[in-house]
Formats: sequence, C-alpha cells, structure tokens
Amino acid sequence: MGAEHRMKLRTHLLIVLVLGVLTFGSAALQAAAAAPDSTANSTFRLVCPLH
Amino acid sequence: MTLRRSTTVVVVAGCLIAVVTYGMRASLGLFTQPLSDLRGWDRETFAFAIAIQNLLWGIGQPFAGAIADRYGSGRVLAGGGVLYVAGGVLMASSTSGAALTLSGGVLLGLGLSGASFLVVIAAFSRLVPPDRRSWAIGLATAAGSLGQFLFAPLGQAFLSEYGAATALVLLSGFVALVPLLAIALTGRGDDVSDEPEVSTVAGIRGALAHPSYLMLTCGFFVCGFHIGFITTHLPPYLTDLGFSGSLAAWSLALIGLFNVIGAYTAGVLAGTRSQRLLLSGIYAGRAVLFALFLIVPTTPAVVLLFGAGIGLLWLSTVPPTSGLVAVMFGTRHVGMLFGFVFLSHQIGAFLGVWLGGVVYEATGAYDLMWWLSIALALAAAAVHLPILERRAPEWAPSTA
Repeated sequence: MGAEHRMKLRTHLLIVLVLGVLTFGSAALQAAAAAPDSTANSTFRLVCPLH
Repeated sequence: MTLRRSTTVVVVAGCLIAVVTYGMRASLGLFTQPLSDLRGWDRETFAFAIAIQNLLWGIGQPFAGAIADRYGSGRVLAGGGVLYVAGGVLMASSTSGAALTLSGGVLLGLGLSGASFLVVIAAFSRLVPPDRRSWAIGLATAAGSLGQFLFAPLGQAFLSEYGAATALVLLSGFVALVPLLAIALTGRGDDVSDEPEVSTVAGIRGALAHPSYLMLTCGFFVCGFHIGFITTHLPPYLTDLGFSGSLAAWSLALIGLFNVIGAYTAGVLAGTRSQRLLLSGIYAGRAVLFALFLIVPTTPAVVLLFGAGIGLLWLSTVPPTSGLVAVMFGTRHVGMLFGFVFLSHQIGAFLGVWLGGVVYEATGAYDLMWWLSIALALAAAAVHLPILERRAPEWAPSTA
C-alpha cells in the first residue's frame, strides 16, 4: 500500500526535527520568560489543542 | 468546477490552519487576568464565557462535521474562521459580562467548531490519498501543538506592548488567514464516488449501532478524561509536592517536544500498522506511565521524564482514532462521525477536570484520581482490541 508515496526516514526525521525545534524553542522561551508569580496552571493549559 | 491542487498544498494549508486556530485558542488563557482587570470582571465572569465556548465547541463539532461532509470542509472552515475572528474582535471590545459571553463564549465556540482541527481532519480524509492520510493527520496534529507554543510568546509580546484589547484584535488578525487557507481545502474529493449513499440520519443510526464505533468512542472518552485531569490538576499536584512553577514550565516544553514526536510518529504508524493495536498500546503505555509516576518517588528528574513520556502519548491517539472512523465508514460522513467521537472526548475532559476537584476536596489528595486514570487507561487498552478494523458491512464500497 502506498509504496509509490513512501517517504524516506530522513524526510520524516527532518520534519520532526523542524517542528520539534520550533515547538521546544517556543516553549523554552516561554518557560525562561515566565514571571516568578505566574502559575503553572496557566502554562499547562497550553498543552492540548483539544482544550 | 473541479479544483486541481497537489496533496502538498492541501496538507500545508491544513497544517497552517491548525497552527493558527489552536495557537489563538491556546493564547486566550493569557487574557484572563489582563482583560478582567481592564473591564473590571471577576474571574467567574471570564470563566463562564470560556465554559460556554468549550460547551458550544463540543456540541457544535458534529454539526460542523455534518455540514463539512455535505458542502465541503473549505466552506465550513471559512465560515468558522469568520465567526472566530468576529468573536475575537468583539471580545476585545466587550464591556459587559453578557457581551463577553456572546463574543468570547458563543461566537468563539461556534467559530472553533467550524475552523477546528477536526474539520481539517475531515478535509484530509477526503482530499489526501489514503496512503498518505494518516501521515497528514499526524503532521497536522503536531502542527497544532506547535501553534500553541508559537502563539503563546507572541500573545505575551502583544499583551506587553499594546495591552489586552489591542493584543486580542491583533491575534484575531492571524485567524483572518483561515478563510484564505480554506480555499485549498474546498471540495469533497473523489473518494466518496464508490461509497454507498447513506443519509445523515441513517449514518448516525448505523454508526451508533456499530459496536466497533461505540468502543472507539469509549476509548476517546478516556483520552479526554486523562488530558482534562492532567492539564488542570497536575500543576497543583506538583505544587502540593513542593515543586516550583519553573519545573512545570520546563515539563511543558518537554511535553510539547515529545507530543510533536508522538503525534507525527503515530500518524506514520497508523498508515502502515493496525490502528486498533496502536491505540491499545498507547493507552496501555499511559497506564504504565501513570502507575510509575505514582509509585516512584517524585523528583524533578521524574517529573521531567513523566512530561516527556506523557507528551509522547498525548495526542498520538488522534491519527489512529480518526483513521479508524474512516476505515469503518468511509469518508462520506467522516466529519460528523468523528465529531461525535470528539464530543465524547470533551465529556471525558469535563469529567476529568471536575472529578479531580471533587476527589481532591473529598480526600485532600489526587491519589484516587491517578488510580482511576490507570483503571480507565487499562479499560481503554482492552476496549480497542475487539474493534473490527474494516469497513462496516452496510458501508462497504459498491463493486459495480
């Protein structure tokens, strides 16, 4: 099934790397910039797109 | 008129819609305090509007899916995008609690239903070739996760620079891109041509009488329960254990990173492996992870490892769950039928959030909730095993 469209492992890894770096970078930026009085609750609300 | 476009254009547009709509949605939490301070609202007023938004989003999803199934996802996404922008702009200018409920609650909730990731999934199910469908859904799931993290610092920067009302209008401006991007997702694809004509009502009846669909719906309920409980109650749980908010924030970064890996990988695997077994494995993995988190002494390293582990299993349920709906019923009513599955997810999320509070108030601890989460995870792992991973008999493609 779908052999004609099978992507190379390298392509998959590249996609995950780009998305992962952007996501982790943005999240790390937020974590680093978090004010001392900010609540963890407001931060965790960002985790799930379904909420 | 038949619109010719490449799969790449469809996938990129769908992923950008997921980035924008979930980014905006996730950023709304940043406005709770500043907008309440600006308008003199108490926390309850804002919370009520957001609760209405969540309710309408969940209830509206099957309807948005049904309209997308009938008239094409592009139109629903465009309409949802317009409502979303209107809700955001009017929310920024609302001065009363009632106006906030109508704008941030009703309009944004309906906008979310129409411009949501689930409608994008419905579009992918029809417009992306079957062999790349799960991959595309996994990619869009990961993109939605990216949007949340990308928009949070952006929203914070707008807030600091321009104040709450202007920042909300500026963020809404990004959502104005959705109707434009939706052009790439118009049409219903060619896949339904060989599928039997099933009316909407008959589709709902048939699905609700199909045991595998009901089991899948029950499984996604558990996913919602876990996510609702953890997003709301893990931070205070960590605080109770004496950990700082900074540790929670870094855990979040790991959840985000591993969620991208998990969702994308699940999308790839769902295209080549058994989707029911994949789901069963994900829920079993959650049970093991929760049990370890409860049993192993909680240190910062354990919290971070838990964040990475739960990130890996977080939204990885989406590609195989939506994929199974398409396997069972084809793509004619996939938006509506996945909408109902999503509704069960939202009900589970509501119960996870609410019961967490009830249990904590009654016992002074979350232990009972963790054990309940483990039990539900094991039940979900078991309930996916008997699912028939093939087209339901009355939905089989015509061979003529």
